[in-house]
Amino acid sequence: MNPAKSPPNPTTSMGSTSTTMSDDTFRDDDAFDVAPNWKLVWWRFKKHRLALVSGVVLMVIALIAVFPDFFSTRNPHKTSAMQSFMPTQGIHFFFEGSLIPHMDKLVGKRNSTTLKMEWKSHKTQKVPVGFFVEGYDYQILGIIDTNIHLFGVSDPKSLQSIHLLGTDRLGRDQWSRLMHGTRVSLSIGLVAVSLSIFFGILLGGISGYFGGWVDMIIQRFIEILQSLPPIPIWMALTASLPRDWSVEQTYFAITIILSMIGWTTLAREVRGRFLSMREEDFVMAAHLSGCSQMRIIFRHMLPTFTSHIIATSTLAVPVMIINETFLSFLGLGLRPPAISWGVLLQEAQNLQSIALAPWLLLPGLAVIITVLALNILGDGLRDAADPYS
Amino acid sequence: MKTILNTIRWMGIFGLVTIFGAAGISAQEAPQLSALVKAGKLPPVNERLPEIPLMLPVVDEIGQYGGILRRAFLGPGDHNNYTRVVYDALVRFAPDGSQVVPHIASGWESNENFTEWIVRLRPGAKWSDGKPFTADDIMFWYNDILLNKELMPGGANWMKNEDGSVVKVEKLSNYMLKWTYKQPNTAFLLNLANMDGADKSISNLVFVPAHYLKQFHPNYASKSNLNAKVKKAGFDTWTQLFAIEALPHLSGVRPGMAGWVPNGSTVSDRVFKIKRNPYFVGVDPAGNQLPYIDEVHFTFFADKEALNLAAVSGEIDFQGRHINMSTYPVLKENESQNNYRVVTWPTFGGSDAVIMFNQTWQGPEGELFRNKQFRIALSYAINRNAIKELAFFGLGESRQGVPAPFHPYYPGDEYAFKYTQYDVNKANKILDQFLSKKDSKGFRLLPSGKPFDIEIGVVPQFGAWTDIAQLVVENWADIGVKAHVEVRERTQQFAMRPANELMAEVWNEDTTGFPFSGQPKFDPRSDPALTFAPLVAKWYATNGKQGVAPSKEIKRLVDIIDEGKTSSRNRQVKLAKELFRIWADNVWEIGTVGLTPMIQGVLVANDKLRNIPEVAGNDWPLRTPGDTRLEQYFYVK
Amino acid sequence: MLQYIIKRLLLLPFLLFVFSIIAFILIQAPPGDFLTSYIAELAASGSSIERAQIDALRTLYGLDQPYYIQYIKWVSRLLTGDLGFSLDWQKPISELIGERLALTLALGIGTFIFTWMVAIPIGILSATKQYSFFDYFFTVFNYIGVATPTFMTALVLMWIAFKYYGLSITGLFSPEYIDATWSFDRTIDLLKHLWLPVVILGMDGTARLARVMRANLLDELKKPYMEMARAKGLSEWRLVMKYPVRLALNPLVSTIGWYLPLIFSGSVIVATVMNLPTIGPMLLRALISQDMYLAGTIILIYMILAIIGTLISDILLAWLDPRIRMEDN
Repeated sequence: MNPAKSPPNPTTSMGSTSTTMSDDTFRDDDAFDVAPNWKLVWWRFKKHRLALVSGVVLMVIALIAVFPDFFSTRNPHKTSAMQSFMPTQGIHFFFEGSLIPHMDKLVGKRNSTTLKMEWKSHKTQKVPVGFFVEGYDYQILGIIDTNIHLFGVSDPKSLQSIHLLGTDRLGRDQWSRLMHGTRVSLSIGLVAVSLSIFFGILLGGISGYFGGWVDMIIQRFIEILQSLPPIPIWMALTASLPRDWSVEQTYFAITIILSMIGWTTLAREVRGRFLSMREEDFVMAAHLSGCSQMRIIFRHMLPTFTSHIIATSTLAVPVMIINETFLSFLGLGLRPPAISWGVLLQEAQNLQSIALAPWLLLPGLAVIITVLALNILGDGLRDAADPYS
Repeated sequence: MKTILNTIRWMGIFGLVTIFGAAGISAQEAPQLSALVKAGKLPPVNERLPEIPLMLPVVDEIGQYGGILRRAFLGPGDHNNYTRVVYDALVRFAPDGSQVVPHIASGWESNENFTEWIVRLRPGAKWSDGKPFTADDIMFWYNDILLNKELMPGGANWMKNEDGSVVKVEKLSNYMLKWTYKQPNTAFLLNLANMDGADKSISNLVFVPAHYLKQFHPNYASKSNLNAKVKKAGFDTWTQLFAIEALPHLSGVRPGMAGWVPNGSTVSDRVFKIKRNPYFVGVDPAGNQLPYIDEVHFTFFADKEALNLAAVSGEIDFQGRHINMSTYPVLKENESQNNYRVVTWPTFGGSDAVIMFNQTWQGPEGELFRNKQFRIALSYAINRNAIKELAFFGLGESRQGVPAPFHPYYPGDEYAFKYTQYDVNKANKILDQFLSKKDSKGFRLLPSGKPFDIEIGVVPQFGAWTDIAQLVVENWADIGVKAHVEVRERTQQFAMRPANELMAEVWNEDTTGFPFSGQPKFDPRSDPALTFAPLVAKWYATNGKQGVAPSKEIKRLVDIIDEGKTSSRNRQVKLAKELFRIWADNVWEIGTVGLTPMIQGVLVANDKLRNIPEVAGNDWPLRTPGDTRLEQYFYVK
Repeated sequence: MLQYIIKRLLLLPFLLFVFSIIAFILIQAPPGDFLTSYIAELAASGSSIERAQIDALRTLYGLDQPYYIQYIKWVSRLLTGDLGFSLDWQKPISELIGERLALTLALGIGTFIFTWMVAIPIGILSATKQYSFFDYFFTVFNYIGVATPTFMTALVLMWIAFKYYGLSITGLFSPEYIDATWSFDRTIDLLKHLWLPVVILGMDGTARLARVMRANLLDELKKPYMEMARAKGLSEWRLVMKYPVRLALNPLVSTIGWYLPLIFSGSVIVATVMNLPTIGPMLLRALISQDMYLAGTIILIYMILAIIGTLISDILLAWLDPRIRMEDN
């Protein structure tokens, strides 16, 4: 490990390397010699099985994020007074020998002493479940109207409803809310990281390419920002967001706030690379052959560490996701009626929920799985793209 | 009937007291105090009590001395937690909230037109440090606090006449004072019952230990001395220091008249402890000096959930404050194994979630809001049972915003339950008469053919209101009335009210006990402004130059309230009943569910704690649980 | 070297000045002020306050003065060592922080010790027994440790404790010791309560540290001098501990400085959920109730700690690796 590199800021990146793998066996040496960079990366990446699995998992999660309604069973905002705190239910696939997917029908009765709503399975009646069924109306990507859902109650006219992950205190379907929360949480992470990359490359590039006093000012600015303790700053910033801003405005503000700290490390790295690369031969050659400055930067210098950027960014996304989660959890980030994992966990963080409806904490599992997958994928990418880091 | 019972009760008390005084029976006291008396550190109990002590009746039985009452609070901002426990006032509200009874003061009189009030203190009463409590203490408050422009630049509302001048207070004797108002004031006792240092504000005081506070006041203390004190405490001005020292729970040292006094601890401590006041003026019917309980401890919790968890674990002996109503099931489940029981004290009448229509809304919907049949139909369309289930665990009853059944102002069941039946057909029939046109989605259109959409503004003050509003929107959709919920921040919503920018609002109706004082919700002129009829308020405020004139019914409300302010008690009861009949009949405000334990109504009580009433008036002016007299609570051994 | 340190130290006052402005802007940013949230809080528990009283309070607290005056007053106070007055707690801020400082440090240092004591051995074992069951187990464990938000762990554990043991694991002391003076028993009580938050807080850092240690050590183990030493016949254990571990630790030691601010700020969420009497929850509350001076002072303290932490890190780094010193010059 190169000690000359600045120590990792614990909250913005994960300073570790992955499990090693042998990268010395390639079947076809000729193909190896002429393969473009990305193919090399892909071959190295494929060897990391865990990362491949993570990639697949993330693709499913991404699908959910883009089409949450398809995976949902009910409108996530719809309340149902008589259906609060229903527990999780599983789908049973066999009914008396034949393949009839169904779920139990739950009957609720309020305990007269504790006033707790108690749910029991109906002894005989079941709710048949189908796949690719008709359900509530929605629009795909805001354009195409449809009402097909991955699974749901077989009979679209039936008044029954199924709740894979139970319901919350207002009778809202937790599964559907989790699906919608995925979109917000994942996108905030991606957008925040994208913003970080943008600012990091922009400012780091300018700093490194031009040097001199431009460099000095930007560097001091970065130093100041890096010296700020992130958590109190985030808390203070999100606490100052006016309570009457719309969901969209708050969302936008939070992504900006989160991205503000993350870009500094990247900027420093980009600057370092640019500084050293300035003297490289190929840059000199490009300059001599008449390339404009912009062209030199974008066409020649940047691509050399694109893979590095991709790798570190993948590792930065889960950090952003966790940060949004904990900000919303504290009540400082997104608030209802917005749905994100943090908001779901916030709503579960009270005595009533923990004691009576612990299944409301399941979105935490979603956070763990997603962050896990992203970290493994990021490690895999970094090993594949950046074996010298 | 009630008055007869009351009279008998007062005669009984009076009788006991006379027997007391006549026979010169020696009162009993707490063992720890007896020990101090024996050691010569404290005068004997007869010398500590006033000549005629305050007799507090007990709920179940005469109690035993001893024990520490454990409570929980959320920090110095939660000072009213302490205020409610000690309820340290000259007069108090009775436990059922229906009337005012003497407390530190022994009694009062007023003249026929309620412009003069005489308040009597108790000869021989002493502060917690043994110094006498006399009329001079109140005159100090009057001359050196109320009239001091630096301490109270704006004065106090209850001490102002209509023309803005300050009400006159004079000392008639060592134990008697007279208030002289320029106009009749029937709310005098109600005000006095709330002058107990509430909101940790010096403007809510009326009696203070002059002998202690003089050292912090420039009229009595030398400038250098005072400046030194101010600097030492870390303040800039003497007013800042005085504002702290004037209140027992901020000062920690200032002597008090309450059953328990701080003795060094303040609300800024992690555990705020108040200890038995050896000079408390109260005794039980057997003559034992109160309180029974030795100390009350308030433990700090940073987080409300942690506080609720502590309640469930049995770590709190008696508390309803900060206990979420939603914690009820968990509390009940753990009752027996953690040695406590759950008590519910429902809200003090009214309705815990009401939808108020703006009678002066200038948009096209305004015509609908002013149409009584429209409001009635909308009331019938609400499924109150669902609201009860969703928001209140099935507790409470469906009712309009009228007083509780046990209150003298109750207008009767017919009015309490008017229009509360869930009848979608009836609602549709009514609306079909004048709103028969519908659009393609089934929503009704205005007579002009234009669509309408009622916006219901909600401040999520008591968690369930947003859910209730949502439910109401869904109910109204069933009869073709389009509405939507708009959740706002409190300050914003409050600013929109007087600006006439709100169509409808969800709030609670909680002033049914006090229609003739303070800021009742039936008076369009109230401040903070109501959604009821902001332009009518303007009309009254500008003497008719601006705003909108009130309808006949609303004018009747205002007239009743004004008359009630200057009427005798009996007349007030008659007027109040009429007021609430009009209120329920006109449903300007649709009540949904009431008498739930929504506001500090779910309480945990240690199994060993006794003399807690099953039914109590639960409201802020009553300082619940203060009105239930914690001084007579005791631990059975 | 000395030049380097001096240069950094000279920048300090300038940085502090900038930081104080940032802190002040941050705490003034929310709309309204302390009194607006105070009124809301009163209303939430059923009481109200008269307008005249509010206005009087506003003047009393100096909230009606223009921003730059409030800033100047605040900073001039700070320079004389007067940390100011908390509007919410009605107490001097120095007292408030002092009360919590010891426990915050106990929590932070405890977490730090736990993290290092657990992570380093795991890292060493993982590296030396690469690809073994032990290694894979801890790989998974580490990943999950990093992926789980600390407050989730706190919540789940609190629930388990409540449901299965009827315990309420909040606070750092049993009720009888909350206000007591320091004694041996009280210290033991503290330790009894402290271990759980320390473990929860430490999980995240432990996971990261173990992986870095492992990676560093693996790099060292591959180096030629190891082959040489093995050839010379040194026993494996002594060999590993003598050089590679120390070399692997070097870069990590330089990260110690980063822990200083983290000790304070990183535990905010967990401390709030578990009702611990540390500085973190106080900051959260101050931000929400807009107790300006308290929030501002705490944020400023965090910033100062961050600068000091960075400074220590950089000095250690420069001291350990001469290449940095050269690069900077």
